Amino acid sequence: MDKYTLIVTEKPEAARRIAQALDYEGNPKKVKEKGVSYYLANRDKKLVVVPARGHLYTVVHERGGRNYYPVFNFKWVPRYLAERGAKKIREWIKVISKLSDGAEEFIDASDYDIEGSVIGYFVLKVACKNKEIIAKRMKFSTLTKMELIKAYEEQPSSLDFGLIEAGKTRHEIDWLYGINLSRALTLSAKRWSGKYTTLSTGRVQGPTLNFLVEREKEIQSFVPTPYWSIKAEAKIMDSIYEVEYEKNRIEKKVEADAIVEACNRKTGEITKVDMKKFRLMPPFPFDLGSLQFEAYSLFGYPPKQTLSITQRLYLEALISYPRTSSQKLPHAINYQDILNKLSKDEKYKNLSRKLLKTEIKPHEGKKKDPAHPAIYPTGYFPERQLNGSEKRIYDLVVRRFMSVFGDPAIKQSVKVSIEINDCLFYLKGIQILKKGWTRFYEPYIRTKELRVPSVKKGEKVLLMRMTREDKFINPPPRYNPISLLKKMEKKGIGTKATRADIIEALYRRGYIAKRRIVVTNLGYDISELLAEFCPAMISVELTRDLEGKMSQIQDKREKSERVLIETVDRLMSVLKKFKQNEKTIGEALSNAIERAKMQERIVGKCPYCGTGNLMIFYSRKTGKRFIGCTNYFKSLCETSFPLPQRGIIKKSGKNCRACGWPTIQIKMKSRRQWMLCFNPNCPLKKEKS
Amino acid sequence: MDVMLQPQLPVKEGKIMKCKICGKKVVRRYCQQHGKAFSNIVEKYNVWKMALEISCKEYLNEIVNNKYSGSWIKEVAEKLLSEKVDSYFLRCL
Repeated sequence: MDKYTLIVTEKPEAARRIAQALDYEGNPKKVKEKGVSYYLANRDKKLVVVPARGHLYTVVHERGGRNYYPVFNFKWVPRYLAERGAKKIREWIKVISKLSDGAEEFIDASDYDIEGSVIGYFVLKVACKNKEIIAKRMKFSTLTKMELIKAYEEQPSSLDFGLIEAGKTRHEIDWLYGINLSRALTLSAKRWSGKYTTLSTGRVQGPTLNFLVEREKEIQSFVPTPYWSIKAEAKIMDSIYEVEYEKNRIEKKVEADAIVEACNRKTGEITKVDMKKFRLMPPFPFDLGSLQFEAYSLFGYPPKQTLSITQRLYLEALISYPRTSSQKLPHAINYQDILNKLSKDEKYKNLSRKLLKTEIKPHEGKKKDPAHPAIYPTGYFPERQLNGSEKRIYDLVVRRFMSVFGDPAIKQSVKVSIEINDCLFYLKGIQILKKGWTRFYEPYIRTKELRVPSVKKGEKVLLMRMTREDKFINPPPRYNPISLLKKMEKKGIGTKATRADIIEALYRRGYIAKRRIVVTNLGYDISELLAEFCPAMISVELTRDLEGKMSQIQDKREKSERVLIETVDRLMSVLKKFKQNEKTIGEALSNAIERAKMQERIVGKCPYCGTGNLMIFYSRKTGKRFIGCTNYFKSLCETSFPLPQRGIIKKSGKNCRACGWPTIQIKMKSRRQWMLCFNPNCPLKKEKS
Repeated sequence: MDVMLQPQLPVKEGKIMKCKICGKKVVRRYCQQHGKAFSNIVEKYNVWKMALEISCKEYLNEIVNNKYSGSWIKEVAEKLLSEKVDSYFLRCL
């Protein structure tokens, strides 16, 4: 083959799209070699478009075993040398390497962000043998044909070495923190108990867990205090309306009772009618965080799910690059063109045409991102049928995009004051006068209209069915994945691309559980130990300071080496203190692990004795497992049930729909996991037999 | 503040004092968590007394049975009730 230009992309789907866009006939030749698909395209010259598979290289310990810390010597190696499940990477690198031999020009077309830049850099430097120096960079925010051609034809720039250096340093620092602290925790527990359990923490994981632990402490030491509120119904023009007492909280029960006594079934007088008009500005365009927040509150999707859906939609060229913190929509994206394309879809036809008739200007937020604009639809139609969740997210992105160009909505609030026996009650309502942008976002608007009849000052009103409501001040709410993500964003820890993964890691390690996040005993103990022996590791300031340094490296105002040396110094002193207290920490961790393991084995309350717990036991005699009641040891209950002896058993946390007994989850190799109700008299079993 | 409100126990030399509720290391009488819960119970009694005109024992019963009470609060309140509301707790009020 003649000499060609080698274009490296981050993922296989991106390679296909880029090859298709750049090929004159839109029909590149797909070649499959050792399981790696790449594309041959013809443009002004011959092009070979080859994908990476995410990160092909990673940081590892340079030499030495696993059973000690601190470790500060590291190197970058191909992932197949570091990870067990990454064997395919070896062939992948070989194919790229071979293709690079015949290339005369190199273009990095990975995603234009910190991770993409690191991926492209290592492929060009290592697999393509030091071609990062001569390589050019294609920059784009959508995978649409038009933008890809533009990115290729506008003389691509050289690689962004500031971004690459910042990305590399981030990986190295995270590795240093992660490996040393995780090894310190794991080994101290192992040395105390002789048993191995993987424990982990990291630069961002520690402070994040600490947020949760602090909230858990507030909740567990919360004393609710009582208060009362009064609600009543007012009869106005033969209709009944709900009215509320002027004070939301009445602090004495006797006071609340006195008000009910004085006003129930009495006629009052309207003393004032207040009306206020206000404008509701359109929302800002979506950045990743706000899209994840909206998807969680509307559809209940955890942040990681939203990120993976948007990533798929981006690779299908339906939306722009989702890992952005921008709330800006530059004119260059061509609003009119997008709306024109959207108007061809029956669903958005009327709405987009309405916008096209006016002069359009987006209502933008303050947040900027140097690499990408806010998330917007490209206007292209999907090439395949989208699934339910993809459809929902796509519709949300389209409607938000249209909303930002809408006029402000105008609402009117009404507050009618009713006086009875020196007590004041309010009848409140809200009315939409002009829909404005809300017509574009209608399915996702949560506030509803509440109309109030037209009344005048001096009119009489009968208050009936007055009730005193007994209430308590609630404890602070638990975090959920999205409010935690927001907190991380607000505190400036982690990046838009990593925050969702950090939260997932906390779940995976068993430090937290449930959607409304509860910190497990293990999570609590780990955070408390870190707070006692290495408080810097749960400090927000430390990680925020490092994020700042990373930005400085990116802008070439700080040297990577200096930041790495600082990190090593800091870690040295932390780990020294940790080592001195290893015995105490090891004991506390071992106890916490033991408690967590015991907790995992408890499947629910014993339905026979009602006081004991049903637990998974292993018979010393036969080695077989079964479920028994913990009250057996007190000679109070002899309940036991057999269990399947193969597969992994876990408590499901759910009760049987037929008999209400606790159930367990069984997972066997190459079979789908299933739920088992171990009640021998369960009506479901009788039905089946 | 919280720690100071906790009842002080004589420290026996050479013996590690354990929290009466969970067995963890004590700060005074309770561990840090239960100590904080104890302080909160003492602190909020006045609000309850003013709102409902209830006795100390009734207050403890209320918070033991309230679904919004934190678990450490319930544990401390149960302990205090089982001790027939010890004199230190009354002094703290």
